[in-house]
Amino acid sequence: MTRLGRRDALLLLAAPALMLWLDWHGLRTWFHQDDFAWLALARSVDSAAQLWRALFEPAAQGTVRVWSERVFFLALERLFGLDHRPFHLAVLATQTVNLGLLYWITLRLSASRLAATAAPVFWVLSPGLAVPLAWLSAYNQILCGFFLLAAFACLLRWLDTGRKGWFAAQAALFVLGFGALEVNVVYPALAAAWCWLERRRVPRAVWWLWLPAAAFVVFHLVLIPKPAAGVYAQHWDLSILKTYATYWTMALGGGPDAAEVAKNIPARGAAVWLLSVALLGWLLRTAVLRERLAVFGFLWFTMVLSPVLPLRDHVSDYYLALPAIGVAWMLASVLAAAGRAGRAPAAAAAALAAVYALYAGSAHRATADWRYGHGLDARHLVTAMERARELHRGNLLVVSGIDSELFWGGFHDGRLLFRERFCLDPAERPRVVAPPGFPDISAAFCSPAEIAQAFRQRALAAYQWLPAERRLRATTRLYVHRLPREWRDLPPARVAPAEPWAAQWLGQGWHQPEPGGRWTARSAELTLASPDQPGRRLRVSVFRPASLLASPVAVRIRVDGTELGRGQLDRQRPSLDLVLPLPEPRDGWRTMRVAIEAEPVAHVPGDVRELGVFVASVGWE
Amino acid sequence: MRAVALVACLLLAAGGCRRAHHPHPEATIEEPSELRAAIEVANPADEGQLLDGFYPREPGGWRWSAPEFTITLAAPPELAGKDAQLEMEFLIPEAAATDLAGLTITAAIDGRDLAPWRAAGAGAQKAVFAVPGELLRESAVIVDFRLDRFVAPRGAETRRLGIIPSRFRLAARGK
Repeated sequence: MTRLGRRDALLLLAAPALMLWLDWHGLRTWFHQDDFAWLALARSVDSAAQLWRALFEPAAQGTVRVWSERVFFLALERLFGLDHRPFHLAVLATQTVNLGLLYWITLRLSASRLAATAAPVFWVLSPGLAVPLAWLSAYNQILCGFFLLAAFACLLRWLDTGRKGWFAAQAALFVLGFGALEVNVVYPALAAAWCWLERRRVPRAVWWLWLPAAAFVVFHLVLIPKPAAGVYAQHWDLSILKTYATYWTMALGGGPDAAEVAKNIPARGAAVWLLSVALLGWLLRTAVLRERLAVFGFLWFTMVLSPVLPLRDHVSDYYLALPAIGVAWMLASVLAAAGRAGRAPAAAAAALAAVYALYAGSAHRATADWRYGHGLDARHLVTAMERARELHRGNLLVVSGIDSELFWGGFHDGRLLFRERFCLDPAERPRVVAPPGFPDISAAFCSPAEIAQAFRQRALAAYQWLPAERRLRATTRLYVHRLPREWRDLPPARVAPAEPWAAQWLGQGWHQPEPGGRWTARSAELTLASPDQPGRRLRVSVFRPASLLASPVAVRIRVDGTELGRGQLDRQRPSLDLVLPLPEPRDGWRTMRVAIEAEPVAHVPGDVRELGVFVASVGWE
Repeated sequence: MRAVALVACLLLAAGGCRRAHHPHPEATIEEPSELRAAIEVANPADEGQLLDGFYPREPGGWRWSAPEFTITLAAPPELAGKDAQLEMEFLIPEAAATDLAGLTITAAIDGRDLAPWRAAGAGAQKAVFAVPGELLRESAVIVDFRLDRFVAPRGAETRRLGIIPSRFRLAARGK
């Protein structure tokens, strides 16, 4: 059994103190990138049903990380809004616990206080940990680390004491870990590996841990579709070896990202080679010496990394956050063994540790600082957007002057925080680069038709981003002054038929406006602007009360006479949101006639009108 | 199940604990709500009426213009529908005299060019443009200026420099 004493209390502080220094900026980074999508999701919740969806509906790439993304953002956003500090306190607290767990585990595995102190320090220095400490959307790595380490600590206690409570606690932590990150699935392999290394056999109870893991894999493979193309496509071929080598290089402070962010430290490639040769040489030797910590470190690195190895085109530094624990153990094992072997080996091991600290630490610090700057820009932009929205509620807010970095860091997801529509001026499209695999960005740009409509309704506000001042400058007068003349008479992109302004765009077949929409006759027409870019989709929202749905009603949508799509209303489904891809824009196509046809029509006693469907809105997006 | 319900209630209720948040008023630079018919380029209070084409303030407050620049001025009610004149006081520095020799300035309101004005040479001068009454029906005008010559970038100076405007004014014709 491994008991901690006073001396351990001091040694335990080394890694958290280093983390505070190294990530001084990182731990104060403001929200950026995907953070806004989670914050927007939190803001959208105002009923139990929405809360359920927000907590459990699969998000991008089919992930459902209930604790590390959903509860984390939902709870803290509800309590503290756009104050990033409580979020970072949660990150800091979790990681401090992780470092304590790593100290205890290393002490138990190696019986060396030097190794136990060094392993958390090496982990803190790892480049892979910089992003999860700075970027709140990557908290899943930190929280998953907690579940893996805590479960593993319970396993060790169970192995030492034989008490079933420890095993049950381990199993519970393992199952709960699925709510943090999918990588958690490798835990049974880690547990089995250590049992075999220490006891040359795997206890039967440990095999039961594979059951939830297998269930999770089946659930993930069968129920959640995997992209066949793009950066998240999986490649089960020899590229896995190359990806593994890339991650190994990055874990030791190398790779193109490190060279890019920490330019002032030369010979990075040579340092990675030196560290690699030393560690792999040590690994071969420990296999003979049965130095378990180094071998387990290598297995940990490989196993925890394995779920992301098929993602050949999505190599990300933060995927190394948890595998880096394995590298830390390998280095700590070198240090501890060298310390026992005499002065010369100890000096060589210390030099090796210093090389790692310099290269990995510099890449870590530079990454954290870069994230901090990125967050600062996003903070200024989103704060300015908040102010603009406060001054122009309900308006269309057109922004220009945003470059690619700020677009992805703050604008693209930051605009989701607001009910008002913020969009970039269409002329800005060439300024924004969308790397392969990034989401479609067309919705982030205003269409000329919606600008024209907002202009006619005097609901247009234009702003220019001033990079030097990090402020938005109102430019509505100039923007309107320079609005292309051919835009001004464009029909709208979207019509709400009940709105008074919409009447001029409605053709035949409409009844009088009513609250929330208008009834059509058997067929009704309206004019919209033609789509401004490929990929636009027409959305038609129609309804007929169940009392008027004695038989199903076929709803057909035509554009310029050609059928675009159809749907059906019936008693089970009295409302319909038809979303139909529009044809690609072509030269000279400025307006389009949209026809909504309903068959059969309904009649209400005392009302002579033919009632087709009740239309709330028609428009493309 | 009770625990889940409790967590759900806490999450939904938590929004009420949050303090009201108001973004900093200086996060944006807003357009002036009231425009003036006469503005000074060096006056920070008039900066909002310099819409485009002005380089950053130099020590002393003066600013170079680009070869194209745009301002907005209030059209006082007494000028509504009446012929008026647009005045621009500006400087052509001696150092730029060669590049700007024979400079012609064109002003346009609402896309309509006013009669162009030809600069006499280097030094301080005042350009006056006749504005037909039909261009003064709104409460404000936006004026686009174009120069047919400019000082091309050279050496460390990477900007295309026009003139140094100091004052703009919309006034009744002949006053």
